[in-house]
Amino acid sequence: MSDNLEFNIVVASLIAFGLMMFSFIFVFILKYRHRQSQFDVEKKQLKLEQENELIKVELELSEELMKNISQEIHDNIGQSLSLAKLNLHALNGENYKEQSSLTSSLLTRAIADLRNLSKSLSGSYIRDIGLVAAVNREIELLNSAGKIQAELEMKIELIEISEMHEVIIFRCIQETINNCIKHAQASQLKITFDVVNHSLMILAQDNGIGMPETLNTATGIGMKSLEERTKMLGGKFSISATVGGGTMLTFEVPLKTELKN
Amino acid sequence: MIILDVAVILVYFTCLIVTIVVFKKVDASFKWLCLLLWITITAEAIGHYSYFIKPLNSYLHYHIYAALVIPIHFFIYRNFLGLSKYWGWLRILFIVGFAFSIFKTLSVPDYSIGGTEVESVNGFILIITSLIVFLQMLDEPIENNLLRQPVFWFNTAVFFFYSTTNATTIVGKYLYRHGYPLNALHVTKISAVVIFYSLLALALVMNYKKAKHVR
Repeated sequence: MSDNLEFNIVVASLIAFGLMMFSFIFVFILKYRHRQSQFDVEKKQLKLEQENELIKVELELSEELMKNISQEIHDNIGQSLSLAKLNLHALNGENYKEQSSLTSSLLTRAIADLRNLSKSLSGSYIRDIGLVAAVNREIELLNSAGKIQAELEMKIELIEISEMHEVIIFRCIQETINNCIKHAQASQLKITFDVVNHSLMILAQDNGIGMPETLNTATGIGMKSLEERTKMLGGKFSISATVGGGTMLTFEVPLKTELKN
Repeated sequence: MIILDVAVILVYFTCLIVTIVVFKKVDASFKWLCLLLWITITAEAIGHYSYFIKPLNSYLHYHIYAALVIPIHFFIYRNFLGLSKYWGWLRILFIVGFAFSIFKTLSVPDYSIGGTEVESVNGFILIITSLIVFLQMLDEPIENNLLRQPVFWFNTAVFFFYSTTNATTIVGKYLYRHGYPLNALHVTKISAVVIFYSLLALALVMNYKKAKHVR
């Protein structure tokens, strides 16, 4: 009797074990479903956060752009026009020729500044003349200002890339030049175009004060926008210090992806 | 008992048909699973032949089969857990399991003795591995419908079967020592075999359907 009881306990244990197995699988399925809904919420939240971040960056960028335009109009065009107006008021018979020629040159400068501003802002202009020519023009403008000596080095033949990519890359270079003017305290800037492992490599190297160690691609609107734009092209953006204390920005844009697009 | 024996033969036959049909289109891991099933069916066929038809040593081939189980499972799980942080440790466990299987096979003086120790050690390794796969699935619940996931069915089969086998081995030793009948245990083990191979066939079919859908 006692033996039978013991045997029955063993059989009952096996049945209990089987039930435990099934319960385990059942609980696992429930847990998986719960975790999955959690995972979906996390994924959606992350996407939303990224989108918000992108919108924030875009807004801050457009604000920055407006500030640049306003500054350009105020500092150059506005000043030229004010001087021209003053000259017009001062026009008299004695120095008429001299004054009118000065006014004319001031107006010419204002028109040229306006044209440059318009060209810099217009995507279609960049599309018309091409990326390299547009970058060259920016470098010429930078050199003519006399503050920074800039040069463009082409280690490659011209590459065929889509117009949309040209505009995005150009905006990155423009932002890099602006950063160099505003923050780097550099006297030289060199921009290099190269192709390495089917990727377009753009290096922007200055001899300025370098970047603070705390500043990386995750901070700073300008840097963030550069990172975001490079990501849009399926590429990588990095910042590194150069020998002698300057900064080097590297844009790596895959040409294969570009061609697919 | 006869019903269960017929069910076992039927499930082996089903597995054989399924593996032949799906082999070309399933993923690499499931190709290894097909190989494992072919080896299993061959081992079982030899076992039945030697036991019923010709009075041969019916355990010899089981020792060879037991030594092959662990490396094949290693290749199957490598694709599921290759990127997992636990894979390094699991790899060591698999190597230890394989070395133990080989050692036991070579050192057994009489091959008419079944290789329960090797089965238990391998079972233990596979239970741990399947638990880690379950954990990984919870970490990244990417599939919408878990029940359509071949890895889930395969892993459930492994976890269920080897847990049952190890439990029945422990209980069996106890029953044997005390002279109790082993019928209930035998029924449990055969039922586990039927469920195990049915789930493996289901996993293969799921993977085949998935591969077909992707293509």
